[in-house]
Amino acid sequence: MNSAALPRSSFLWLLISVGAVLLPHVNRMPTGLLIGYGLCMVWRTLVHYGKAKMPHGLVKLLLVIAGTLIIRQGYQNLLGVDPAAAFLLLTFVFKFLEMQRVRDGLLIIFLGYFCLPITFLFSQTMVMTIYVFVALVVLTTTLVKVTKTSDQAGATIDLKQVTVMLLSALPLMLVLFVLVPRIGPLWSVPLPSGQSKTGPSDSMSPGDIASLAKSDELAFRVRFDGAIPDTRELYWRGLVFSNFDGRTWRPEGTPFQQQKNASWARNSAHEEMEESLDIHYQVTFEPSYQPWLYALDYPLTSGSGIGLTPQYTLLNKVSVDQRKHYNLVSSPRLMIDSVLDPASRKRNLLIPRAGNSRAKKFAIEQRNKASSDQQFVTDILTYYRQKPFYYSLKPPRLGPDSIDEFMFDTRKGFCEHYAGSFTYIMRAAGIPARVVVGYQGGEINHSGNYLLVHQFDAHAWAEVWLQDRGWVRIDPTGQVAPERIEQGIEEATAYENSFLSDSTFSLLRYRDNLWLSQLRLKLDAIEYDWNRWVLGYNAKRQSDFLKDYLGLVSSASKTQLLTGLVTLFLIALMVVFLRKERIKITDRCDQLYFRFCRLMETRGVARGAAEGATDFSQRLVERFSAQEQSIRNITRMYNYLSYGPDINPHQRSRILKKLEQEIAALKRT
Amino acid sequence: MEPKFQPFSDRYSGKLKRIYRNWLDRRLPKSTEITLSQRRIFILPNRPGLLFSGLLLLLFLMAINYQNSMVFAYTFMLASLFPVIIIFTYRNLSGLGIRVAECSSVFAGEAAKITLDIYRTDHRIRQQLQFRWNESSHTTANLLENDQDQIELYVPAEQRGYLNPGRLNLQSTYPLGLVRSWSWLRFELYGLVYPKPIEGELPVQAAPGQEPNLRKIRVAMDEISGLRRYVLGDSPKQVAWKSYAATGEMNVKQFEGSESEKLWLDFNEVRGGHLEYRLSVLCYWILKLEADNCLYGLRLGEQAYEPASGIPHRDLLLSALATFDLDKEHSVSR
Repeated sequence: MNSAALPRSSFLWLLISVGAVLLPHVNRMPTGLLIGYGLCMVWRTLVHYGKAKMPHGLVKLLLVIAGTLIIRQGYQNLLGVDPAAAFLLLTFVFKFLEMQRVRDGLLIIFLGYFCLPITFLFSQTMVMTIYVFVALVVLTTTLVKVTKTSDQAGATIDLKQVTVMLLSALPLMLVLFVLVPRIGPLWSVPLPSGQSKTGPSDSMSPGDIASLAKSDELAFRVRFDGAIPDTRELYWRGLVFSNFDGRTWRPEGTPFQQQKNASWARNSAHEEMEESLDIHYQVTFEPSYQPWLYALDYPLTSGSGIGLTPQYTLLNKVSVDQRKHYNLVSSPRLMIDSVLDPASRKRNLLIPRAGNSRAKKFAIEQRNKASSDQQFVTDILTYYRQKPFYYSLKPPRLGPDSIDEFMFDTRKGFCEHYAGSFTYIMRAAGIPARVVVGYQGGEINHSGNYLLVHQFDAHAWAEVWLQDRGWVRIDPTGQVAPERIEQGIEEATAYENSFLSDSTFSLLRYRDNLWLSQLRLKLDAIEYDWNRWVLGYNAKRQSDFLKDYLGLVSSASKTQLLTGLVTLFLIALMVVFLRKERIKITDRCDQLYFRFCRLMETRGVARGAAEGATDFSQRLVERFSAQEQSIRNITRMYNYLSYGPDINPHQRSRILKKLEQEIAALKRT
Repeated sequence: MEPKFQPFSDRYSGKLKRIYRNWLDRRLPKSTEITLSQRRIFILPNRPGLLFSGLLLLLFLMAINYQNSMVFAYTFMLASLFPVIIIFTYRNLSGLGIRVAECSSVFAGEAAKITLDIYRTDHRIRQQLQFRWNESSHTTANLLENDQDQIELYVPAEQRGYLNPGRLNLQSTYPLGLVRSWSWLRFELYGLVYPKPIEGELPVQAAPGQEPNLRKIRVAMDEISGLRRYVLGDSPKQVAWKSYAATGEMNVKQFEGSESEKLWLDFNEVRGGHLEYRLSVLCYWILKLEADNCLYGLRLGEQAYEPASGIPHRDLLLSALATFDLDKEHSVSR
């Protein structure tokens, strides 16, 4: 049967299925492949309508070679998920081009079943999920069409049938989703890596953060156990830069050293001294493809693959390639590095000997005027506030002496200019200082009571080390543009109208529009719940859920529940779909005759499904000769009432009564 | 000859096969009318179904290794679909009724036409009902809007006797083609297989020294002994057209020859050959004499059929040949 020719009625369905599977991958595919796939689909369609011939073996070989070359060109690393997905899709489309038999059609559907969920490795949004499940209906209907030998039914009958089937499978799917034990990965697999890194990188030059500010992508969401702290206090520390080469700020040590220096064990000492001021919160972090994570000043706990560096920043063991959930406790009062060791002190004072001479001179002059380090810090901040500095997303380009130019000439800059120049001046005056990069602020979603932090919330500030106070956060940007800290970047750049100016269609641009804004936040709240409860449903959440809501702890009881529910589902399925359909008999005459038939059946002679009343009576008489008269009477009356001439209702009911009496009499014998 | 498609009875040879068939016979007795129920329906995943299970395993591995919730959901969705497929495939056959509508009688070596009525005892649509008696005789039926349908199958009749084409295989993989449900139907058929006609010498008991002469016999049939009612199949030559024109009743002339002019075909007069050959020769002569409008009778073992002519007479004699010396039970369990 499988080597039979593909039914013609299935072709259109196959074409739609191939398109439906390819569609979500379109923007990740090299253009060459996209064109090739399009050509294959058009070619096979022309063959179907008799306008072209099946491709020759040689042509097919050339196509495979061309496809492979394009994939080689398009992806640097051939072992990743993207090239693997591309190869699968290539097989899928080429199979479609050369399909002729039912066997080919089946293979295409099975490949489609496999290719479809690959989309989820790249995106698991609700919209994508709905798309995939609709595509599943299409693919399954195609399977019905492919395996038919003679197709008389229209598309709607099969489509309806498949939809009913998938909907009936839904309850069991939910049971399995919630209850089947989630085990850890069996072996490590390459993760989708084609995406560019997002968020702050591991270095900071003038203009870096300004370019981040153009992105309206989500960085992370935060849910606080208590009230959401004041926006001015929401400094999300990510990276600490101590090394400066005159233009670019970098962290100390190589990534490997950073990993080594971080403490990976759960820090229990801090947990014990719980303070009322401690902030408890959960972060849902979007993939950044970089290892660092963000926390409020200053994170106390780490664990579950997260390390705490000596600078009190957080490091993930590997780069964050998938959405990550982590719980944190931060203590805003914590004093860090109350004693600065000489090496750190030296490192945080280093500035290149050459260049920026004006700034160096300025720093020393000012320090000499000030009575203390603290006073000096205040003086410099005052300087920023009083001189005509502008906060701008479009700062002018700077030459080699970037600090000098910024401080005394251009005076237009973004947060990294302020943080960088401030730190430089502190160091030049002999005060240990460093740059901190992360996010500041965030958008409160009242419908979900959580905080959204976007890429445009990226920020840079400074930390100076003061005697008896340790590292102290200083944000010079706040002196120039206090609205940046209080209300966010949109307000701070309102005068130059540069906020998200490149992305006209970003809903975030229209935050002023109350209705649109509410809609966007409502949708985001749904997405957030989706991420937390559905996508984030892992082994830990599963065991928490089963314990908290169902009180199940032992694996035996979980297995029992799973088995019980599966059995229940199967029984329900049979009851719903296999119950006997009762044909309702409304005619009194038929009712009586069926009563007679049932009576005879109990006595051992059943009427055949299409046996006429007269034929049946013949058989009955042979068997029950004693009741011959009665049987013949009943049959005659039934035939007369059913097939005889029209009679008036009065007569009819009289005969019916007689029929009933006759049957009752027969029953007594 | 066992048809090739029978997946189970073909795979196990010898003793196992016999045990399986006996079990099938007991489980699924012969009938003229069959309504499919759980007693008669078998159901198992077929090869694409097994492939589908392999696919599920791959998807599950993908979900585990990528720890991807939606891939888990997708895999569980397809896995949950499997019991639903089984129910739906079973449902496609269950409640279906099949009845023999007509079964023709044929000569050995020809194919007998069997007409089956298929109908539903509920209102569910049925699709892709594949009926197969063997490789060359299969058909597909659907019950969409119509509550019943008729299918025709031709089965080869190899051996004289009662028509016994073995079990009819009814199967369906609808809706998804991943699970196959099937049943073996054994029908009580009333068709007969007549002997294959073989030309031979006229097997009549001739008076010594007197060769039977066909031409003479035909001439002798001029004397009409009476009329009888026309039966479909009677030769138009024998119709009494004059009386038809006068009365409007269609009658057939009956001839009465003298005793010596009646032909008695005699089983014992067939020269040589075994039983089947003798019957074949008799069959040949019955057909020939009927075509020549002769009067012919038959002596077959204990039985004697008085000479006459006409299609009903011919069929009576052919039936006698078909069932002669035949143990019915033996024939059935061939």
